[in-house]
Amino acid sequence: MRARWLSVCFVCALAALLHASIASARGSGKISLSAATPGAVTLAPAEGGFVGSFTIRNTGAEPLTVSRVAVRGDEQDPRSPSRLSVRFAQGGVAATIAPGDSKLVSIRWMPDRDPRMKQALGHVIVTSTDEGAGEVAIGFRAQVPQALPVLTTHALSWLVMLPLFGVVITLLLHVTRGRSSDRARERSERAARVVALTVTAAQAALTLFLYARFSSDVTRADGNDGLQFIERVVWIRPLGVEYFVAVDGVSIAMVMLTALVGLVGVVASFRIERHVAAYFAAYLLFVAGAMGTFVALDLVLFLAFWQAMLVGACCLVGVWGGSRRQHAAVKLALFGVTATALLFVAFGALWAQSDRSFLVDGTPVMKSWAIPELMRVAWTSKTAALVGLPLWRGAWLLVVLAFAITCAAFPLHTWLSDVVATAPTPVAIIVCGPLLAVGPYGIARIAFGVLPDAARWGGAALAAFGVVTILYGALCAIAQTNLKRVVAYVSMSHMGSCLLGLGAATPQGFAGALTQLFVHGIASAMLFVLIGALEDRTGTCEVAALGGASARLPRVPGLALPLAIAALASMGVPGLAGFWGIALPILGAFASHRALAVLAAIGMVLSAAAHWVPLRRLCFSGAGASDASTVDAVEHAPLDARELACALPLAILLVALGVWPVPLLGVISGGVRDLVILVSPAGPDPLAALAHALVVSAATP
Amino acid sequence: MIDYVGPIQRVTPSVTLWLVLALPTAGAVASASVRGRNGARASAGAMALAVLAVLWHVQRLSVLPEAERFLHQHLWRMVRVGLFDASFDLAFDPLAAVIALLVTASAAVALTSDATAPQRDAPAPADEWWKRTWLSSLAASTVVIVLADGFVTMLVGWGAASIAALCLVARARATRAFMIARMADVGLVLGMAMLFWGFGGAWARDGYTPDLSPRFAAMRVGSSSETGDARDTAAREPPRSDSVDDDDGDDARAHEGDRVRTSGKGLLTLTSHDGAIVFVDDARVPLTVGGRALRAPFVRFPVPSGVHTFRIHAGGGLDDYLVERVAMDDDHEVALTPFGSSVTFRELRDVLVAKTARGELRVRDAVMSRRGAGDFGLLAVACVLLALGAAGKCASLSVATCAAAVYTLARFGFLLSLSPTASAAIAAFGALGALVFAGRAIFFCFASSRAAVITSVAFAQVGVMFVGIGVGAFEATILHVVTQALALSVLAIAPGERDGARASAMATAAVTGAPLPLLGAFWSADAIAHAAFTARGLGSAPRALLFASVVAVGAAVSFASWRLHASTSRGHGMPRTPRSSRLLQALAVAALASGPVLGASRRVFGQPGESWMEQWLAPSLPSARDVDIGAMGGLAVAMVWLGASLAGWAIARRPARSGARVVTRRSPRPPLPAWLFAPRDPYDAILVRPTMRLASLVASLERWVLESTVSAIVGLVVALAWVNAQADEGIVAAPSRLASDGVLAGSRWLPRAVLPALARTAGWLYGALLAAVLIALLSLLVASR
Repeated sequence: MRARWLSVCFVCALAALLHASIASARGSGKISLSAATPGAVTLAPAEGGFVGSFTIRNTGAEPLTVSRVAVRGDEQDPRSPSRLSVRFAQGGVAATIAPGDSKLVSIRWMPDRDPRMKQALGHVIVTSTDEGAGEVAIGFRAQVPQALPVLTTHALSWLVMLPLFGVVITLLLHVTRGRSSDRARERSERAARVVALTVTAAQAALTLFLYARFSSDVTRADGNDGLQFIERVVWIRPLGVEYFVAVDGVSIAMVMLTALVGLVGVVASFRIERHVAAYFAAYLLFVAGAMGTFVALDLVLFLAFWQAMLVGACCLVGVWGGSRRQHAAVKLALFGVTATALLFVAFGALWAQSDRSFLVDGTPVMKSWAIPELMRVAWTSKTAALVGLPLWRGAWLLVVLAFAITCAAFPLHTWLSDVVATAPTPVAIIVCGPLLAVGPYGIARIAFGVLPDAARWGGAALAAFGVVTILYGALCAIAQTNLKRVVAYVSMSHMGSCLLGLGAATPQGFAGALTQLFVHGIASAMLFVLIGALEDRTGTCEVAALGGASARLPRVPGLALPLAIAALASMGVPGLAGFWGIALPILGAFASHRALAVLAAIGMVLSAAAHWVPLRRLCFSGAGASDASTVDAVEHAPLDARELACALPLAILLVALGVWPVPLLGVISGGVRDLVILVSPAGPDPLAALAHALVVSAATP
Repeated sequence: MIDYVGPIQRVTPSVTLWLVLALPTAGAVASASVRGRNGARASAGAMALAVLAVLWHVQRLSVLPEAERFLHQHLWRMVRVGLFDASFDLAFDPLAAVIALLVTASAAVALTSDATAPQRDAPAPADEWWKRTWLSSLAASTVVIVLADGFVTMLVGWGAASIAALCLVARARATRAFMIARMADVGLVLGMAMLFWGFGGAWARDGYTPDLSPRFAAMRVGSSSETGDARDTAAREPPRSDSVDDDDGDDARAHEGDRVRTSGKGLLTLTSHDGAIVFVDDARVPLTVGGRALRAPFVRFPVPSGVHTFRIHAGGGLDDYLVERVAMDDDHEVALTPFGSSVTFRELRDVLVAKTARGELRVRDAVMSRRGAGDFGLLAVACVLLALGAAGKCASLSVATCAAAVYTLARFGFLLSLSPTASAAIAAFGALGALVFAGRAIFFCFASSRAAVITSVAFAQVGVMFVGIGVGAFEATILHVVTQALALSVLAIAPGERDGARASAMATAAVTGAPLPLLGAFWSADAIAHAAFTARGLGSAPRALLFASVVAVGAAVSFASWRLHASTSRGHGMPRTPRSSRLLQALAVAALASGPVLGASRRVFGQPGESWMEQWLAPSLPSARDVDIGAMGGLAVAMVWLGASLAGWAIARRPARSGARVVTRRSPRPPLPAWLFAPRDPYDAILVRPTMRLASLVASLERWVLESTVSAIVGLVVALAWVNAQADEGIVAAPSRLASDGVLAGSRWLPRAVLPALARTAGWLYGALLAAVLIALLSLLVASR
């Protein structure tokens, strides 16, 4: 009896379910998008432009009405480049598809003959009567054919992967190194050096290629979010994580810095003699991590690369450092873990509150990690809270704190001097270059790019924070007796300039911050190369022991002249590159925070004093105050070929960029403009930007 | 619609100005590359060629109509960030011409003296080539300062000059000069920032909103009433070719438009924003040359007459700017000028003199009404900052940098003339400095080195020049720069000569440096004193004080110069060589003649008109006060200066008669020479003892007040730095140190197992790292497929 009732109930339920499904099928068709190849649609050259297609299939039992196919974005928010069109093969942007039938949709991109934007990426949005599916999308991509397509199409992946391949090879060399035979070990070490040099030289050459192909006047108004050399594939689909790398005006200078300093560091590393292969593995891991951090546009990818960089730095300091290296490495790790935790919380909160979006191939995701998608979220309308503040403010605060740790801003700077004083010269070079640069870069990319409203809210505080860092770092530098610590505190002071420039939120401030990151990187690299040379000859970095090499030093084309150039550039003497990094933030801040600008200018004098004290002691004071053998060692041993190879390109750059900074300032101009538009309430008028685009297209023959 | 009309600067393009800069640079390179006598000759030759290049450009200027005496050459763009646009542009106007000639000539004399000096015959010391190199570099960088068309180029020049001066001195004593030079940079940068933002933006009661993109205005170059001279001269010019050059290089751009003056064409000028394209005819069609878009800078480019709307596409991420309904009349020049924030001197001056259709100086009035700090006006604060910057740049004390510093202030004359507060501050600062250094010259330097006397006298004269700038006597100040530079050059070279030549040279220098009536610096010093006495905007007491200061300084300088001459003219010089003596003689003659020739008013000789210097500088200093250099206002003053000279000479001659030996070497704390102030007679008792007491007082003042102040500041900074570092180590770094030590010490196994003995587990760690990297690579490869 009971079983019969159960059978009846089961049959009824089955019938109800069947009825419901039939009713549902009767209401609308089911939409399905497919391209010829899996993933995004690839537009191929045809008809004077680029053409691709995909199919909309109705898998339901009822006709499917497609009300609109369109490229995602609009005039106010151009996600893709202009001159893109989407329509059904038979014409129109709407159609009805019979059950089981399909229709072809073609995508056309008709760029100018020599378009500024060499790529087109985006999504086609399809709106239909399939309410269950909602808006569906399919991704597309097109690439203007260029010379050396292997390089241009995957330039950034090459930049990131080359050092990673180097890591693999050097690790293999380390694991397989000959323990029994000295000769085998030497061979292994030589091979590791060659691998590292080859990888970083190739990276530097590729960066030059990238620089030559980079269009400096591209902005977000041109589509693709102002990004160039985009590579975007789905990485971890269930989590919505993508391998999304690209460069724009904000990151291109950092990429160049990493490649240049990475190469210089490898050349300077040739003196390392202990566990050479392992050393280069850690070094290349750091370089890969830094490069990846600067090009990553997915928050998870960003964190992954950042961690790789920190792991590399901790290994380098902890294993190959000088005295108290464990202490320094643990300190670096503690600060790094703290910053990671802060970023993890902030990124998680941003992801959790983000809007529905699409992966690159069109797969819908409820939340997004992609920075360009997060930039479009209306954060101020979110009601969630973080650390007792509205989400957008709380997340901004955490992000800024995390990156302030990375760039050694006061009072989160205490790791820097210990690490730099302990680390071998090449490690100090990369720590004061790319590692510090990640901080202000991260603030510009994430805190300002993703949360511009919060940046307006906290900009003044950030600028004040920067000025305190400038003054504090300069004062600490004056009191140091160790050359490496002097550079460490000067670096801290320079990072303060970057924070001031960012907080000013003016074009000059942003440009000054980015310029300072690059210029400080090369100036500090040169200083460390020369300090390393001094240390090699004298066995000390103590200023008191090095004093008095002087009366004839300016005439010796050895250490004194390059050291003077590096120090003068670093302190911001007009005519050398460092001037722009110091003067532009002050000029930018003068408009909005005049008192802070004046204080920063005082910091400029203190910074000069910090540089001058050791420089005078070394180069211009009398010889009586110091050990005569030290003087002789310095005076009669000019730079050797390896040191010259490191110092000369940097010196040329410092001098050339001083009188002709356009190659640097020009290449970041698009990024600066985008930041200004995002952050400044009185930013350039979008209509004017449109007119600008019109005029440019009219002027192009 | 023409927005503004006014006597803005008409620009004449040049393609050869770079030579003035390149030749000294080439001399520096040659000196660094070629050692020995040939290097010396090469650097001296290059500098002599630079002098010729300057003279050639002076000749080019002199044949131009007054309104067009402004040669301009654009070299390269330096920076364009937002509305901050700066190019490495050179400008050569009468003011720059004087100083450029002075600097290159001084350097040429120094280098020639070095190349032809007797010790050249001996084996050259190893350290001489770098002196020549840095001297040439100093001259080149000073030329950059002088020819700079804007703040940025000038700052670059100052930076290079600081480095060159530092390396030239290259001693520990350079510390103070270097640090002061950096402080001066701060003054210049802040002054520039204040002017840059102050001239633009929206100034509302609730705050200041900066511009983010440049604004342009169409400015007609002069109206019939204001620039009649210029138009007349333009009309007198012969008709030029209207052919259009196909070449799109800089030369073509520079010459473009300077050739067409046909009816039916208006003339359009845009000298800023390198590379900018101007669209015309509904803002859609670019101006073209030879089928290519014409790019800025261009001067007097012919545009069809009529009403046009121009669109300026500056590039570099800037918004385009529309200048609407501009009426282009036949043969009339219209300049598209950045209106507001700018770092180009010429553009700042142009917007200040531009008038609206109603004849209002709207921008000037607006700028003058803006507050810079507290109740102080924007212009006042900016000018004081710039003046402090320029004053600081004198610290390296070379003829070149001091001249350039005074030149810098004169270049800002158009701003100073609008700010009585700043002018008064500069004059007061100059007077104070002049008195201090003049006192130092007469009270301290009687037995110390010649260099100390010259230094003190030079600084005192720089102070007088600041007074001249402050009271608006720009032309007189520039003449003072010229005469003093020549005198100092003679003083610097003379000691290398034998007795006779040295004595006469020292006498010449003393005559030139001391304002003796009708000779040398008298004309300029007299005009400055006169201007101080009649300065507008100052009360009678300040005017009297300024006047008294200038007179007293003149007397002190006269005294010190003649005492120096008398006390050093009997030493033992180097053997005489004809060439260096001729050079010295020529220099001495030039020094003597410069004052009367350049400074004497024709009125003195019964003719109407101004002096040559005034006439020459008039186009560059239109805002200067009407001060006659040859006013001959103070006969009494002249007598005071003459008396002081005689007193100095007489006092210094006394020991020579008694056979005492003159002390000319420097000593750290020179003892007072008893022979100089021996109380042998009532004259000594009345004059000398009080003088000695006053000397002690001033010495104490200097030692305890000035030196102590500087030392206290330095000590304060060092102490603050030390305290800061201790706090950093003890307090700020303590938590992180505790944490890291805790991690290390608390878990004893950690240092052994993980960090220092990493090798023990290295295999596992590296294996894990390798695996992680491989997994990442594989996953990326899979994902990309």
